[in-house]
Amino acid sequence: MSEAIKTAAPVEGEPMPAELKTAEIPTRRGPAPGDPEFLGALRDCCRSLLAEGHVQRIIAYRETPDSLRPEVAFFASPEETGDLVWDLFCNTNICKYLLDYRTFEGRIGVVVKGCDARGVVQLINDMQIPRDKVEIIGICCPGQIDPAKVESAAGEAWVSRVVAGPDSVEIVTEEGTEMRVPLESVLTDRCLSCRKPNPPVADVVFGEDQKGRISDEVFEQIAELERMSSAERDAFWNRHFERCIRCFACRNVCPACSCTKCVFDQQEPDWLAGERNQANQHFFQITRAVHVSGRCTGCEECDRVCPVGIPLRLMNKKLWKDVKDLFDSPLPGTKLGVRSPLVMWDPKDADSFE
Amino acid sequence: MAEKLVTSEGLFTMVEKLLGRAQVTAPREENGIAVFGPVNSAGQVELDGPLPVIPEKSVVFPQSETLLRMDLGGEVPKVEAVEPEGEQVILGVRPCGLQAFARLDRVFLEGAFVDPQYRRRRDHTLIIALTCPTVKRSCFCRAFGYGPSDGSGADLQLTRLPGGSFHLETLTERGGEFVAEMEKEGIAGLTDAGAEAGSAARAEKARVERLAERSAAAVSTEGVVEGLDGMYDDPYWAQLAERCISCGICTYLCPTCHCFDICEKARGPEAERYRCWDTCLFSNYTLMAGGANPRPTVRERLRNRLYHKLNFFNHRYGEFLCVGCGRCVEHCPTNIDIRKVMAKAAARSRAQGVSVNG
Repeated sequence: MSEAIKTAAPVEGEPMPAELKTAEIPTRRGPAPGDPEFLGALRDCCRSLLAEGHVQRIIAYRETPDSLRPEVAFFASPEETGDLVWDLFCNTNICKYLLDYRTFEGRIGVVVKGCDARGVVQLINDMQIPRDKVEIIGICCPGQIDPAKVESAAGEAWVSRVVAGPDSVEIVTEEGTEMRVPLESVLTDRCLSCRKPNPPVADVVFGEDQKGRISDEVFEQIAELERMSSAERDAFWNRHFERCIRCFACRNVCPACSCTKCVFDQQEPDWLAGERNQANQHFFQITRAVHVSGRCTGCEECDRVCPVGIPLRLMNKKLWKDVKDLFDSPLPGTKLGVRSPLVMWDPKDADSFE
Repeated sequence: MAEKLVTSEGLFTMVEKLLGRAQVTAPREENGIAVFGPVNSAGQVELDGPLPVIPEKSVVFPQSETLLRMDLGGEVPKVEAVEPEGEQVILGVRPCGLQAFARLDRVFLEGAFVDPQYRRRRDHTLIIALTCPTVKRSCFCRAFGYGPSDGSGADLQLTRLPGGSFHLETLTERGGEFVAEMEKEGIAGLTDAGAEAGSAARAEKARVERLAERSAAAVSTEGVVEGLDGMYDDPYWAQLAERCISCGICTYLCPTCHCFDICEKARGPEAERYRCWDTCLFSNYTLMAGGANPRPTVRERLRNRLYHKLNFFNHRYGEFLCVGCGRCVEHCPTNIDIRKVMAKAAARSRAQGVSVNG
């Protein structure tokens, strides 16, 4: 890539609307997850936001009989918040639901981890929802647990509940047996290499800043991919794309996918035909990766939900690395008012437009 | 029917033999995920892993398949029907997969129209079932009246014995022919099962059935159909849909979902008509020419799927279109749980005092 592109960025695009310039520093802090006071304080916070009319809806999680799989829930009144929950199984990134509230008259509270909060900020930066319509209730996230890893650790016994400590978790089975395993052995893959567990923007924050887990594994894998010949790389991705069933879960959870009509849903012309062949599998995967690059917040929700285990994070992180190297821009979703270098232009750009 | 004992090595050799004469589909591991997929060496077969994410249905109902080939170059277009070719073996089908095949058979083979593609594939597929090695919390087969050791619908059934060998049971004539053929090949490690192996297999089956008992206590089909009869316009569907991201995971991983779309493509004079999986969770599914859509929001789409599984199919065929494999429960990105929908419908049925036994 030419030097001109490198020095052209970051460029100042058109001025950002005023609502994007809201203060980024949270004014209030609550107890951390793991503190006995935490859940009560979180529920109180949500209850009073609804009771005092600061928000008309809160998107968070609700307890279910299967304690490893709390469900996303939408709280409309203070009375409903009694079964609001936040624990280490709140894997689902809820930021995308904000798009359902684009025309909602009222403010929406969202209970978000670091990765979810970046999605919220990205939606704000992409002009999908105004900053002042969202109350960001952030949680400094100690890492989330993969229910499948817990279940596999428990073997044939059914897991009744999991008590998480700072370094280990206690798995209690239905039969009443208990076992203790290291926390890292059951954390989700994305949490094992999470560098940004704290919400970058929030109105209220629970817990003190977490360090995150500094693992270079993903970037080592990317370096390995970069060293491959293009034929080897092609074979690598073919092997994975072949499995894609095109359920579109990756797109539907993605905070960078906010088009009102996705190109893959268009019928005239039918850009992506239903036929399963190599060209179509590549067209879908690569088009989506390139489309979200520069706006992908690295939440890895796509990687988490992919039922067939396509290592989407490798593709997205590689593209993020390239955008960062070329344009020196911050990780998308970490700063309000930042436009992705790939979605803005400037008449004074060092490169010509011809 | 005949009972055999086969060592892991013997089974390995059998798969190697099969590879030369049929397309073999079996559970295999891909990037840490178990899937049913074509294998090209016996070493890829992974029978001890979890229930494969990709269901068995793709063997008889592939995600996309050509129906017609056309040559539009001449004065009169030439159209030729494409028939699936060759023999197939599907190894390691779980009891829920067998139940699913039985449901698909009713859709594709019963009634006035017999689907030729499906018929051809089904007739040329040998089914080797596997007694589930374990029962997960998401499994709820017992709610549908069968269990993890039920081989009904298979040609042969494998049961892994504690020592590592497999008990191989012949269930159909076709299965018997296969075993005879393998014996003629002189597979080392394939012997008649003695009384000991037979009772070990029965003990193993009893063990997994006991594991499945746990789900029987938690999930029931009683009152589900009746409850749903009166719930079509319930606000519940909107609440559930609020959380649904309208992806295709539950339908594409479902062993019984069988909706498809028919499309055509042309390049130069050569054209093809093909069909491919479709899902009622996608907005395009019911989109009509002119832009009208009778299922405009996720509420109608999700409701349709759940009714098809738990009500519509029952009214037409007298059985559920859900077989309790638990894939949708385990893989839903937002934890929508069909068992909770069943419980909700059952509760409604009780509240209405509808007779559930009549």
